[in-house]
Amino acid sequence: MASGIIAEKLTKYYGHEKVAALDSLSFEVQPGEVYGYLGANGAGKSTTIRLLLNFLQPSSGTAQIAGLDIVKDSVEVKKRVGYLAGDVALYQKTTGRELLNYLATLQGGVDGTYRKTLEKRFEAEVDKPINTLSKGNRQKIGILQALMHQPNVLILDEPTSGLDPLMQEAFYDSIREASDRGTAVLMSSHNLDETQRVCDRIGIIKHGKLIREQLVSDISSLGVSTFSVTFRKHSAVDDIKKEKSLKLLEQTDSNAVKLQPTGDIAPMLAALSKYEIVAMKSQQGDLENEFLEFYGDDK
Amino acid sequence: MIAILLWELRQRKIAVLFWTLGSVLLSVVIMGLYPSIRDQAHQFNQVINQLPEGLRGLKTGGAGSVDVGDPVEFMNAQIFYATLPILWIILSITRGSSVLGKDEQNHTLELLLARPISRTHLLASKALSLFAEFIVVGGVTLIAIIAVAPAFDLHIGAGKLAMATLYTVLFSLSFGLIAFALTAATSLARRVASVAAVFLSFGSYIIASMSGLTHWLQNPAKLAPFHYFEPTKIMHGEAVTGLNIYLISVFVFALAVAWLGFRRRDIS
Repeated sequence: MASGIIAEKLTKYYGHEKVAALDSLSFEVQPGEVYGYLGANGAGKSTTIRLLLNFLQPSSGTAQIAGLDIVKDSVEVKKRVGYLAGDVALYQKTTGRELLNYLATLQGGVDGTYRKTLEKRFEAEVDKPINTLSKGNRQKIGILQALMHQPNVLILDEPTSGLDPLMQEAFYDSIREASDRGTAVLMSSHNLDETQRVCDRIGIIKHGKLIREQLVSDISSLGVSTFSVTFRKHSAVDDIKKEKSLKLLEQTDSNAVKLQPTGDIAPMLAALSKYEIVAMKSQQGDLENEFLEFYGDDK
Repeated sequence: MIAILLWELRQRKIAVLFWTLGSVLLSVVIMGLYPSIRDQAHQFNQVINQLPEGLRGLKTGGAGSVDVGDPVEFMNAQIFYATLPILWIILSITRGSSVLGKDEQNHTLELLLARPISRTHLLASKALSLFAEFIVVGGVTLIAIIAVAPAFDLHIGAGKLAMATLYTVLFSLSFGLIAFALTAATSLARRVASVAAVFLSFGSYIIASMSGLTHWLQNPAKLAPFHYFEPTKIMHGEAVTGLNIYLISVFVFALAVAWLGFRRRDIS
């Protein structure tokens, strides 16, 4: 099967701006892989997605989807891509069914049986005018139009926005199903729990540059743990600030802190043993820590 | 292309119905006035021909004098030079600026561009839907005019009325195409494109009509599209070379600009 997504030094300047909205971005999403694309607002996530779909023209660099150039072969690329925009915009005066019929005609290759399966799975209200639907129900129509032609590549911007937990589960099932079929999935999200749960790998973008890529499985095994410690004496909180083997992240109470080892855990534990501790709880490193490690300074 | 065309027409069916009804009713009501006007043509002509040339020109397109008792001059002054072009230019500019611009403004353009259709295909389909809307509105209005005109003693001939209606449709569409080209090629806001097209159309209407009154306007008027729009000549079967050149130039230029701009520009 053809490859998923390959971006090579993709760069975008808007108008006459001197700072690139996207700066020499290179990454790959393999067939069958779910790639979580993370970043703060304005970091360049939407620009990347809109470049891949040829809504924007790259200033330099190239990208391929399913082995085809995103600019030269844009029409062929879109036969193979399912796209869901963040805060999807739909024609308001039609019903979901009319809209899906229209988009299916333009898309071609939509299996009616599979479409019905999706409609059932998402309990989509396809016979009501779209302007009468809630945000969540509109999002379902958006998801259906992205998935109904069983594309080789899925590009999804905040896909579960507005969905209730049950429908989020239905969406995760659909993504797993697509991934098992060999679909490459690029998914931007602000929901870090969701990303950690669904994605195989993440990329973090900041100021238009990809600053980190990592397997999600590595984040939980290698990620730095944090410790919540409650001391008997309030004075201990001031005293541990002088310890070099640990870093104070947050004072959660007059006698309680959240901290992290600066190196190995053993020296930190040795330092803590000098104080009278009432309670201590460790937390496994997670994607939120990983994300905040890069974005913490911007808060 | 057919799918997009049908979708657009379905989305616009109520609006098209009202524009068609409005055009038909207005034309029929105005034609219904003809017998009484003809019977008092002498007095009407005296009143109209005594008006300042500028005011008279707003009705006649700058003609020196007018005989409202003549069916052709009546249809020119009351329907083909004033009422229908004004009505249809409003429709044309509104649609021209929104047929693509509204999709871009509402972000539904992304839904379409995410499908395997080229931008050229999308642009052509949208332009075609603009033409199709006018075929419906203009076609039904023409049928009504041809059917009703003899009942009010307006014996002009179906062929001549058809040519006058066709040219009125094409002339009105030319301003819509300018608004279409501006929104397609530049992502200019719909409102800005509309204002530009309105300024061009109604500005040229005023300039062409007033050129008989103000000497210094006679040369600038040659740049105004309305200067070349002469329904009387069309109904008399005379050649309207200036109008043909204007229409061909605008259609070719506007569609070329729309295509060249839209095929590679960033979608906002």
